[in-house]
Amino acid sequence: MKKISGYLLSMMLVLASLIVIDIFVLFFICVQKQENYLNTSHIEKVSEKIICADGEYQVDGSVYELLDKTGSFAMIIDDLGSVIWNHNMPSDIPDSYGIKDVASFTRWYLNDYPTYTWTRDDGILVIGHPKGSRWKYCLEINANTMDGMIKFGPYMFFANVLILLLLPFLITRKWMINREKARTEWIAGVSHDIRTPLSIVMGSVEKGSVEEKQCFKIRDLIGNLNTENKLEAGTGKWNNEKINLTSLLREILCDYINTYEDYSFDLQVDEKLENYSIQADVMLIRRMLENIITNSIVHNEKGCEITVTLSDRGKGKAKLVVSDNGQGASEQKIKLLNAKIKNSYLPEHGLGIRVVKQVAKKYKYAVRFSSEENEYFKCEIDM
Amino acid sequence: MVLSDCRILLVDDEKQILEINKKLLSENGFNNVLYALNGEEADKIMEKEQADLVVLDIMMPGVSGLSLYESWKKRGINIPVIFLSARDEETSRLKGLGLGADDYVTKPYTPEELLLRIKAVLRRTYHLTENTVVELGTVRVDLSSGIVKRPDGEVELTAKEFQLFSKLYDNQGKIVSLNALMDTLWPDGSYGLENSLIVHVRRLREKVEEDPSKPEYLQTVRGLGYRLNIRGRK
Repeated sequence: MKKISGYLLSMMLVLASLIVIDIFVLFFICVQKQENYLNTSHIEKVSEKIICADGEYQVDGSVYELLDKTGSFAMIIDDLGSVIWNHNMPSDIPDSYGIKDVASFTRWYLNDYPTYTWTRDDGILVIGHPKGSRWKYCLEINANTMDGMIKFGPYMFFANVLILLLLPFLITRKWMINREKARTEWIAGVSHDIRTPLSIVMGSVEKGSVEEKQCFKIRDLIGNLNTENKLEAGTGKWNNEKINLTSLLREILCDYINTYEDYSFDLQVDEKLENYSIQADVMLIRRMLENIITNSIVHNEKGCEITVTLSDRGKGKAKLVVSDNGQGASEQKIKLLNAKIKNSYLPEHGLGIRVVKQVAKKYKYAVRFSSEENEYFKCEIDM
Repeated sequence: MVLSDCRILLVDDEKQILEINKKLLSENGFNNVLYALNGEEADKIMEKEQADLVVLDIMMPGVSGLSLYESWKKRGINIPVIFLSARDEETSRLKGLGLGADDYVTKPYTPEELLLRIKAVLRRTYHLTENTVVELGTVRVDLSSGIVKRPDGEVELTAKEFQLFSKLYDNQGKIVSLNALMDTLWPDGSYGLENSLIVHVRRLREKVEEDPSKPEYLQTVRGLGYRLNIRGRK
């Protein structure tokens, strides 16, 4: 499931970046030039700066500056339709207008010049901008529709954003889950196909022989592969049962003593922990413990002493230590073992220890490896 | 009737597995062995001559082992079955059916494991014995009658002592964990019965050891369990 959330997080970041870029492009690049032109909300202020006193027009310098800067023109038309004042008037603009002309350019354009009007005591102030500088469109919407849009518009917008983010999330999640399930099934199927012929081989080899031990190795590898995949993909169905840890340790050690004659095994359990139990899937815990012990066997072909200790660490918790007096491991190797599991990274060796770390992670046990070359190798688990 | 008189039906679609298991049983005194390559054949055999125990592969073409088992139960055929399971999911499902650890073997398995399961299930179901006499020095333990012949006379093993000795004998030379022994004696729940087990072991030693204070054959493995070493202390 970690893999799924990793992909989904990347996808959501891409979507969020896309939205931010869109907003940036729209509002900071496309919209930035609009400040240069006057629109309906500014024309009133401009009109206030054009004063008619005793038939003479006094115009604030800033108005001329603004009009000149933007290449715009301005005129005042009196009630009879004549132009009584103007500035920067283009040659193709008439100097008198009828009522129909005024009605038209108030809404649209005057000879393709986008125009804005403001009524005054002395007539109508008209400001015209350069051709092609503004796009004017008169929107007509039913008032109820408009009310509805204003009321529900924001909700619609947020709903769209939510759907935009959630839909790909849900689709990808479903696709990923199906893919992981298919992978788990495939591995389980292959494992099943290997197990039957392996049974035939185990039924034919000599008890205690090298061949039998190799069969056990293959059996453990198949088991670890299945378990690793299910834990990694989150597709395993695990039980939650009460496990007497001391009993389980005894069973496991008996099996090892009965199988591996070149190794000596010792179990030391704190008296207080005789009935110590944990809640977990017994198959997972068994696999975790067996992998640690097998690790000691695999790395010490000539034999060694393996000690398993279960001690009390207070507050109803226990500490399990599996150690051997074999060849140990290098500092570099211990560093690697103590590193966190990297998702989607399967090491060339060490599948067994990877499963140990996965199981410990699942049940929130702390695992620590330590060693001294040619002295000891130790694995401590706080349970 | 002893264990080896039981009729065992082996059901598996892999012919080689059938051959290996048949050979295993024959080498251990079981001469009444039937086999089937699929569920339909097994069903026909069960209708004609009912087996005492079935070793049943789960994954088979056509009728699966689990479907066959369920159909037998519905028809009132309550024969003990040991399942051969190759997938973890199958094992979970078996546990879900309330089956115990003796009732299934996960592939791949050693022949020994299967034989132990077969004997354990037959003993549990039919309370049978083996036609074997175990010699421990001057002491002879007759597994068909539970009688122990000692130089100083004869004694009879109690039911619990007999179960204990049989379990250890089946695993002779190997350590049997305390819990495995407790499960054998008290299958319904064995927590907290370690002291009772120790008492039974002590009483068993008094009957089968020449010198119970220095056990030579029924050995204690500290902290783990017990071992029956019929060749005596190494």
